[in-house]
Amino acid sequence: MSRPDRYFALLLELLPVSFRERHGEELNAVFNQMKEDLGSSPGSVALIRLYVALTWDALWQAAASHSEGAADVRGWRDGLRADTSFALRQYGRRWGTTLTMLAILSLGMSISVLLFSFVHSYAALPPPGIILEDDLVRIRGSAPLRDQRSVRAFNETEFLEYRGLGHQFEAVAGWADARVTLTTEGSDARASVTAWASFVTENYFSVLGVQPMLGPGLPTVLSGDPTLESVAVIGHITWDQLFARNPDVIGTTLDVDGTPFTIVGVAPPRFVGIGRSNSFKIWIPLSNRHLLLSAPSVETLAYRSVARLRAGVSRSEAMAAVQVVAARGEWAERTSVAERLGRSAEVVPLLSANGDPNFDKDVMLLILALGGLGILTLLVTCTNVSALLMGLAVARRHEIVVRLSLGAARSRVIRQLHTESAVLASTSGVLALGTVWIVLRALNNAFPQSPVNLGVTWPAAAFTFATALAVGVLFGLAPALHSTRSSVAGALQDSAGGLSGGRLRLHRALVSAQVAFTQPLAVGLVAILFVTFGVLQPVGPSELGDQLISLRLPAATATPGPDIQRPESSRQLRSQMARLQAALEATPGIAAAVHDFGRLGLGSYIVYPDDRVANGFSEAFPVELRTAAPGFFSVSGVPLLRGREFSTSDASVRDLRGDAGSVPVVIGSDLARRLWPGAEPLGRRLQATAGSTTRSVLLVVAGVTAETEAGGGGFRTAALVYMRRDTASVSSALLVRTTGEAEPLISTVRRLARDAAPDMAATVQTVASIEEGERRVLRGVTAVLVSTGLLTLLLSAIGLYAVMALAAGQRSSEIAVRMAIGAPGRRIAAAFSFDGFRLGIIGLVFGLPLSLAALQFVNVAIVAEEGIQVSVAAVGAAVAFVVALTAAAATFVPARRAAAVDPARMLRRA
Amino acid sequence: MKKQWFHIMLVVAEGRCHGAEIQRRVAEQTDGRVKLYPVTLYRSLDQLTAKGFIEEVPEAEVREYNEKRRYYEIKLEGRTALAAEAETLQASARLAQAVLRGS
Repeated sequence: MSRPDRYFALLLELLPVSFRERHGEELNAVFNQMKEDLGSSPGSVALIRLYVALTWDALWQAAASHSEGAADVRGWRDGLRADTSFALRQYGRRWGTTLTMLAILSLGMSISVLLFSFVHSYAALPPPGIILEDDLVRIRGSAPLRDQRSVRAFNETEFLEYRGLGHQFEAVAGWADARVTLTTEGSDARASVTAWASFVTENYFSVLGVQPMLGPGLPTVLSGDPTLESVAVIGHITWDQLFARNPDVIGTTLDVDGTPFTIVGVAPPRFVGIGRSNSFKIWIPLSNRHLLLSAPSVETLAYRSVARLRAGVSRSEAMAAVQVVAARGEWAERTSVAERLGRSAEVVPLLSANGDPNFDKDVMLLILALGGLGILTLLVTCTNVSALLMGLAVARRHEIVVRLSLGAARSRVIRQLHTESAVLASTSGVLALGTVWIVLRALNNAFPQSPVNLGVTWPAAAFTFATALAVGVLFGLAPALHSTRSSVAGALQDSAGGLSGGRLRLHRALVSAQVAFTQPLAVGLVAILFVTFGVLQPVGPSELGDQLISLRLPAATATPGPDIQRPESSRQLRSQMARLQAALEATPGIAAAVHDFGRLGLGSYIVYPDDRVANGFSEAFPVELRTAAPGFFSVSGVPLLRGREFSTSDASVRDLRGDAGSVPVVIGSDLARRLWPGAEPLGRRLQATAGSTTRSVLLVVAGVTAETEAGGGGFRTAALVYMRRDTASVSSALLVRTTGEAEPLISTVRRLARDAAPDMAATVQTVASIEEGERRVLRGVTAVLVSTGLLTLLLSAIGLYAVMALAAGQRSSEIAVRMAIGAPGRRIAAAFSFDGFRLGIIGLVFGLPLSLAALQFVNVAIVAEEGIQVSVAAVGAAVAFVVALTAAAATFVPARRAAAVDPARMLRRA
Repeated sequence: MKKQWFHIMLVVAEGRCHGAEIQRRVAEQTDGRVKLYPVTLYRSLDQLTAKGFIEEVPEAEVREYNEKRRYYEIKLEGRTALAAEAETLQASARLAQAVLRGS
């Protein structure tokens, strides 16, 4: 027969014999006819389509015909039902072990689902409250920044150009954000909160496909009557917390920076807009921006944009059009030609986190890190459960060999054991999903303003469930095969009931494998924790955080680069800042205002050889250089412990770039202690490391501050070193010290900033709120990592304990004999402890390559950019110690139980 | 009624024919929109026979080109069922047209 005939004949084998015998010739005749209809030289595509269709036809009809009448199919279903009820009875008899396995497996699956769900939510889902649709896209601006690209907002002219792309987009919406203060009049008192206001185009909500849950929403057609447009839609959290979910909130007035707005809508739950994470949000028509940002220049508001693609237009076609617009850059009058040439815009799907052009790189790291953790967790869980299943199967060997001896096929018994594994995995999956649902509800309640869709993503759940089922069946295969290999005589004669030979080796291998998988998981978590604290070194709260206001006037085009350094821009900014500083200092309630220059950059320094002391740190260390104006420390409230503040006669940052000389610096007391323990730090010098262009300039310690960060920095990546900013530099930020609480003065400061610099959008916050926000992030990250790490160790400990307890039970007769002939209980306990500990060490050794790989990944992929290194030796030693300790602790109780065996009772029972 | 059954019975109602012929004429009648693959075709013929809509013509075991073929012809019950199905489809088409005209 020719090849296609053989294939068709093979397909027919799927069908019932009776059907084949009845219609075999005719089937071939029709098949040949279909082949002839394709012509004498059919193309490969047509042939493939025919084969695929024939295959599907045969498979589908074979399944239907078999299920219609075959008695053995009904028998298969009945068999499955019987296996399942038998499995449930078996698990019910050993409910302790069953509950342990359920707890371990569901815990492991819960952790995996959470990790995978977070990755999926971050990487593939739109912001909360928005439905993912193919035609809903983000127009994202980007500009070059050193060797990367950074996000770039648009000015109004550029935004309107995108709106004009009617061939590509059915609708383009935009928004610009600003910080505002909301004030409500309660029955007892006024309540003021800081919120994000989004000034939106009239089609913003319709483009996003979001309807207010209360009220008509913002007008979709501009009437031109400002009183009709002094309206706002409030966020769900705002409605909940400021209006106590009052259903009659529509039509009431809300004070926004002293201007009354009528509430015309409440956003649906979970919808927080795009990109800004804050509890309190309002949306205001773009036409009302002049009410809150007095007379800003049209080109200085920072717009972001979303759009709906026109039917039939692809994202790449739309991107080509927006890139032409971006490249023109004719409206970017304040930028250089070089800067304009680097500008670009992309059309990307509207996802939670892809507002940043570096999203792809970040999401890949996230997938690798969290995905790797999730998979390792699953492996630890499944090896754990497999070892327990192995023990259970051994405990049932008498039952199994009796069934084999009565004529049951080995495959039938294996099928039974596999069904038990599948029931266990399925039940655990359901429990895991329930646990995840509860955890995510709690997270959503704790972080309602999260910009990421925190929810059970079904792809993640399905993947975890399917993996656990597959791995559970796979890991159940070894115990099933081993337990059905027993000979009847051997099993019936063997009254010791213990593990021996190959089963024993497999059991021990599973336990060691579990420890081996646990180690890199724990190492990865600890490394990420190290990195988190290394990158985000938490700084103690500023003592005067409640009396400090951070005022920042970024260039409203959000353009990275030296816009501010242009001569005419610099002069204008200097004059604006001088006016603002004078106005602030003349305001009642404000003690002083000082320029806040912020971070200069990272460097690598080393103690000057002549200034080294014994026991002092003598290697290169990363340094974060910050600049400060004279008077900065007294305003910021950071105490100077030794030395002095900067003065106008001190050398400055500009001098750092000179050929030689020294620059006075102020360092933190923690750095001083590390570099010169027990010695006077004042007057000592630091030198840039080899290769640095500033190597010839020494930093001389002129002052030492307390450890707290000045100005609400929150986190720092390296040792903090301050130096004086030169007077030629222009700052667009001020640190304002108030005489009393700073929060009530926020709106006043904002108004003064508007008056002094009407073309700038000021960001005004208390330092306390900045620090609290960043500490909250760190607390959340730490809690998640520590919890996951502890859970992982707990999983490992439970598994080890259960396995050792089972082994002790299995070997109770052997123990009884040993004790009967004189072995002390202590020795028995020691032998068990040593055995369990040895298993743990074997697992540690085999897990070492995986652990080193995990550490290397963290060092290279995550940490390298931050200029710090995770110590491989320190992390590895710490985790090895913890895992070994866990192994020892987990085997302690079973070992003691083994030593407490009553030999007489055990021997009578045997 | 399944779509393939309807088209098979339409062809058989025109006159007795064998499976391969039915397959070819269904494709012609529907301009290729309905393709009856071999297994579906013969299972459908068996199902229609079991339902009493068509019957195999026992004396027409015609050996053409040394191939054994079974011929089928429609029964009265089959014609009735076919007519009822056609009426149902017509009513559905009228409803659809009325709705589309109205919108």
